[in-house]
Amino acid sequence: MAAPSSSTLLDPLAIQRAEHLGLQARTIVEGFMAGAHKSPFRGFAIEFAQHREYVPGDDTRHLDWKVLGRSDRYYIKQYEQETNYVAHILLDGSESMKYGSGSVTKLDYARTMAACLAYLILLQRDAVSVSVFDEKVREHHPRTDSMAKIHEICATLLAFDSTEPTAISSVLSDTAMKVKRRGIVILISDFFDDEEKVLEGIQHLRFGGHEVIVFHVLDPFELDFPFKGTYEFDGLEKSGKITTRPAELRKSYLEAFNAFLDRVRLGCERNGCPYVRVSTSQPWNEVLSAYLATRQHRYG
Amino acid sequence: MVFLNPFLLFGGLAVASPIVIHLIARKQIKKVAWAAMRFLQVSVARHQKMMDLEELILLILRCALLALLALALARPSLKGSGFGAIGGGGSEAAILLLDNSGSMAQTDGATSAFQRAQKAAEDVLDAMPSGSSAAVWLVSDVVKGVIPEPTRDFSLARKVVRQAERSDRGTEIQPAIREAIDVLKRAAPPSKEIYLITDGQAAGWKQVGETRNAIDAVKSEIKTHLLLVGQGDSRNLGVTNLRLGSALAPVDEPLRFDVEVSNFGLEDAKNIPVSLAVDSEPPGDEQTLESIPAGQSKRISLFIRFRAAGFHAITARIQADRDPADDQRVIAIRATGEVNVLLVDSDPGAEPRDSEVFYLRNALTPVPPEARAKYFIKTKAASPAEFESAKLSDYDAVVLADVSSFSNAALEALAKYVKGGGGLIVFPGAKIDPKFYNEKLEIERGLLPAAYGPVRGNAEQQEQSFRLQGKDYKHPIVEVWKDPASGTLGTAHFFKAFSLIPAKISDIPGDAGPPALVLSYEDGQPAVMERSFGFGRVVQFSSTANAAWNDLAVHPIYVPLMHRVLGSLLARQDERLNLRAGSKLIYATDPELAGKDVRITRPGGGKDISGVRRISLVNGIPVLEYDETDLAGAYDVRIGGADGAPLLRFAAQPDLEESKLQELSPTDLKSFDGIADVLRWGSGVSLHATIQRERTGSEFWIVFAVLALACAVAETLLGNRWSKSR
Repeated sequence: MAAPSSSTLLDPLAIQRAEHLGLQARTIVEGFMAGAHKSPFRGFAIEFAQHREYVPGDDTRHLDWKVLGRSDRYYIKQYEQETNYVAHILLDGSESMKYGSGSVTKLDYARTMAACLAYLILLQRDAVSVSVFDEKVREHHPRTDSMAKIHEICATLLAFDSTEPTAISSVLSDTAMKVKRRGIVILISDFFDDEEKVLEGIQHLRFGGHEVIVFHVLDPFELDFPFKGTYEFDGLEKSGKITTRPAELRKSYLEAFNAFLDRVRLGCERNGCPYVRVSTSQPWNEVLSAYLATRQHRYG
Repeated sequence: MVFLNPFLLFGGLAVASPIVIHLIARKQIKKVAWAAMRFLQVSVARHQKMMDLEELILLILRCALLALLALALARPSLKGSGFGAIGGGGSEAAILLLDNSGSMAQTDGATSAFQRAQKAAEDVLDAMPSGSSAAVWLVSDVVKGVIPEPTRDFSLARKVVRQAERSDRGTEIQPAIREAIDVLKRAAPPSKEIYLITDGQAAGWKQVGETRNAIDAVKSEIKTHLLLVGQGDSRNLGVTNLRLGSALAPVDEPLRFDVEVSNFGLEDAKNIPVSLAVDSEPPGDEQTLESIPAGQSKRISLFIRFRAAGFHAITARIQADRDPADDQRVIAIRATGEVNVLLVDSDPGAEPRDSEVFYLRNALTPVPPEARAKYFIKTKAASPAEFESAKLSDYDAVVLADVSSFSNAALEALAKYVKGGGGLIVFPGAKIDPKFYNEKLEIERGLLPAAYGPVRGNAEQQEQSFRLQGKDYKHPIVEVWKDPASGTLGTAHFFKAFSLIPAKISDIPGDAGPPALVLSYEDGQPAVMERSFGFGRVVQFSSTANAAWNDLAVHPIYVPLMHRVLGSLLARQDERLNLRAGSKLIYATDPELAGKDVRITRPGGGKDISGVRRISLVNGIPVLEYDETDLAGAYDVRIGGADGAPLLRFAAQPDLEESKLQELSPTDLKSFDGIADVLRWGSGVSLHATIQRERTGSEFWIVFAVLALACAVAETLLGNRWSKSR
């Protein structure tokens, strides 16, 4: 997937691709949701859900007087409530996200995932904002609860093509300071940064009362390191070149890499953040399931 | 160090291949953009140096493996010095001297020394480097260059070696060595070798010192190898002589043959059965010699009869031992059905007893008058005039008894007769013309072995006489009287005799042989002399045939003496029937055979080993010549493809020296140290490998092969170990 030029929102190709991404997100989400789920967020909103018998302590404002008058029974009216929260999707668009062992890079995958999540959130009448960052936020779409904006969101996701390294912690800190109302921060990144600082940024968000969901996007080759023969590894994010026989280093590499993954996961868990490790080879529904599972767990 | 396959050293260039592959592999490095670089950097920082070192070690191992393989395949060996020795495996020009003398017949029960020599020669040919050339010579007392000059056609050389035949000839090594040296001096290649494959029989090395010096003189240019295939044996019995003991060989008469058996061993031999057989018949007589001391000979007399006239092969045999060549001896004898003698009587006299040949006729036919017709010796008396016109070829012998002289035509006929194989006995007497005999017969023709000199004694005064020698009988005619039991010739009295003046050796005409003394008087003056003339022989007496000048004719010994004289005349023809192996047969045949082709079958064989010769006229005499007599035994001569009794049978006898199986002494062999390689080939020894090792030294390619294998194993193990993920 070729990266679009960032500022050409009126570029027909960019628009087409944004619509495609939106359509793709819609297809994925609707296909995922079809007949299987209801809104997980129940409350006292406008849409009636069901009756239940009154028990002492219930708010008498929700008594169905009509039922009391007809049947002399106390029933409480329940409604399906539209949760009114704001989700901030932070997508790592740094150069390291441009790696992909197959036809799909981590960034491609992450963009689709972000679009899907945005669509899903909008579909549930919540608000969503989208930011794409590397060292700092490069592209931003302000909060919106209109499904009509999904294509703009997608365009935002596609608009950026970074060549810079990642600085997640500063972006998280900036976000924590800018966003006053508590919401959900969905961070999608490969976390090829100083994980200690990243965790500090997450902690900052948590202190601000935000709920943080971490999607750790990785390529299958990064997870398995299956190279055979002699390779020259050209490091993205200006990390130099190495010529070696990777098969002979696989064990050592995997040890270091798995230790990194563990540190990130444990850090997230320590901060009370749901941590979802995502391989770009995974089907989308698994990712969405993982997301919804975090919500279920939280509000279940 | 020498490399037997030096060209394979170029395989060492393969050492470069791992390096080239390494360099090519470096150019084929796949490139990939990588995000998780810092984790890879950690691994590389921890392991890359070790990986580079391991890669270098594996590269060295692979290069070493190929280099060692190339070295092993080049077959290094330790011999000589310097790089110049690398040509040690180069081509060479060689002459194989294959001893095919009689002693090579010695066998270990399974194979003869000659068969081993053939195998050794093939091994030598096999061991020669490619591009070499080889000549093959058969060596006995003559050198037969079957392939005279070195040839590169080794299939021909092998064929020649396989088809080579042992002979029964003697051994003379030195001429063969000298000749081989002369030939190789002319050869071009830098490496020249002589392989003498022999049983090392000492008898063949009479000039061992000279031979050694000849080899020593060219040792820098020509390398000589002595391959000893004999096994030496301290025991060997051989039939060393077989001859007719009887004066004549008539049919149906018991004939005595003297057989001599010799013990060539170092221990006494006991109970040796000796048998005698005629042709292919079972043995006609057999006796046992009780013992023969070491190094000595014993004679035994055996008797047989001939059933038919003609040529017969007589075989004397002893039990087979390790040298079968001398365990039998064959001679050819012509059995005479009838012997016709023409007695030329100058004076028949009034009474038979007055005849010059009266006693002689009775001596030659010592049977009653009525039995003379059946007796095998027929005599016919003729006057000098009848002699002039007689057809001499009808007679086996002619006796001139006191014939004064005869015409030139008769002389011419007589000379031709004797030259063609006839026998002549000349008795003097009162009537002879000594001048005629001396000038015409002795000087001009060379018929007589001596000239008649002055007359000694007086026949009228018989109180003064002289006698024949009483002992020391050496000539074959009188040899039988060596044994005192046979009597003595010394009892006869001679009252008158011509002095015999032996012909001078320098004056001997072409057809005449040297004069030989048969008998002498007790004062040493010649009494009887003989000489060969052409294919015939002449016996000349100094006194009369009758009792006019002596009383020999009335002595009992006169009969055997005259039989032996007659026998010697007949044997003159027949003695050419027996020759030493390798000698040339020259035999005067019947005149009607001139121009005809005859087939000659060699000993032990059928038609496939026969040759064809034409009987040609030599000086008007039909002569059969045949020189392929290398094998001892009987040779049959037949006309064309005819079967049945042979037209002629002759025999070759082996060289007696070949029965002496003693090898060269250790001292003699030791004296070749530094001059020639002496190699003894015993059972279980791979001559091919030995020669190869001798030529090239000890190969140690196995060391390099093992090292290469070690490198391969190390490379496999380390490569496997180091290629594992870390």
